[in-house]
Amino acid sequence: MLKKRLIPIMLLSDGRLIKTVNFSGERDTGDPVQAANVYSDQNADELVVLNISRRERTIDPILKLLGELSRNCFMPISIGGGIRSIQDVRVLIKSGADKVVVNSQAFRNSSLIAEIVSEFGSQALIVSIDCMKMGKEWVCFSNCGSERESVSLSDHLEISQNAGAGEFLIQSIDNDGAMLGLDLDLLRFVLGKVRIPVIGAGGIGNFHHLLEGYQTEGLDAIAAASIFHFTDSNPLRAKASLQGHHLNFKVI
Amino acid sequence: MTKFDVTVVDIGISNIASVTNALVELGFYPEVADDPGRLGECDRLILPGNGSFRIGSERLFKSFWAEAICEFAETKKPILGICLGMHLLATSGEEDGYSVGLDLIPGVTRRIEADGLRIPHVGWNTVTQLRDHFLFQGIKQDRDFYFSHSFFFDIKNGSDTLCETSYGQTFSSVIQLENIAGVQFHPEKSQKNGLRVLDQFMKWNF
Repeated sequence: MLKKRLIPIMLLSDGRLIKTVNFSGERDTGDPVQAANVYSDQNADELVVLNISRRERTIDPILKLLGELSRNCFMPISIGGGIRSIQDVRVLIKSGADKVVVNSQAFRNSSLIAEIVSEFGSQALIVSIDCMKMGKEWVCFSNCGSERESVSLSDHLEISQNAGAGEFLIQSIDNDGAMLGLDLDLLRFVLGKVRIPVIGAGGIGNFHHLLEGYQTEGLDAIAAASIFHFTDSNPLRAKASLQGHHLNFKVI
Repeated sequence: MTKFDVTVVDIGISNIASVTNALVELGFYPEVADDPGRLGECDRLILPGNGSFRIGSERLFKSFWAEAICEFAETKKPILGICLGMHLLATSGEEDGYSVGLDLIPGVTRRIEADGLRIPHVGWNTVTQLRDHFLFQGIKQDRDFYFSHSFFFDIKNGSDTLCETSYGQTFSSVIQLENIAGVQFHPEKSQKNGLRVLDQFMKWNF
């Protein structure tokens, strides 16, 4: 049976690990290599690393780090932030990334999505979508939440899925860093529209939030950051606390 | 000159660093080969892979890799295919149109048919050992390994299946025929048990 995944998400800015609230107000939370090593020791299911530095929108900062991560972490590593070309993807995958995360380019460069899928397969591509609730609808934002996109969430999901995306990483800008729980309405909306796996992110603040997420039909993966940075929680404790709720986590 | 313990085939679409890092962690000296002319001297071979069967097949057959790997297989030295590398051991593949494989283990790679389940099959899933084998020595029954794929190896002879896994349907997650083995999951990404499988492969002599 396929197991539920709990995925620590690491945000990078200028070589440091940081955490935001509603995509702004960066707080330094330490050294990314040390943090990744700790997650590895705790047998995290997977790691997502995103460079959100607004100064340098290239893969260079993350490439420097990737070598070190890949030497120490024997779990899947997904890398995103600043990917612009198929050549970027080739370099990242060769250097230790198992999957790449594309966000802004998914809105404007559909040929890049097609190239990634054709060369590396759907399973190597996560399309990440940052959403903010405006009125009754969720609006998509790109460039680390700074640019409003005109395409509807529904259309963007369909276009990305048809282009061959392997997973969606759905982040709620409203709930990011608030630690008040996932935007379950948003996730239910997305899960009802798509046939590929969905990773829910934004808002996990305690174990009950995780439980609510995993009990949402079709949601097998949750990504979280604040709960691991700002509380004494970690992936092992989180899973241990969810025992007795008939959720299946990996046994190694 | 250092004698390498294992040669990792680089056809340009693989997660080479992930595999070599795992081997180094285990204390081995992997060599990355991007030229098929070098396979004659090596002791064992790993064919890793991320990507589509069609592109993998093209790269193998357009640059003499296929001949070199099949010649190597004749020597009865161990070969391990990982994910796409496992698929390429098959007779043919149906990903992105029909393409030929190395035909080292009879079978065809096909799209996973899982009614109501999300594809790709991504995450940790149970690997059930159907018989004892050196590659899984020391690994308990029904442990989880990391999978990430939309296609599976539809094996022709059931006796070539060492382990199976279920996702909508049951498929071969580890296969082995003589000196050739293939794993559908990513051992290099499956933490301690994954590393254990790689370690066993490194000690395996058919």
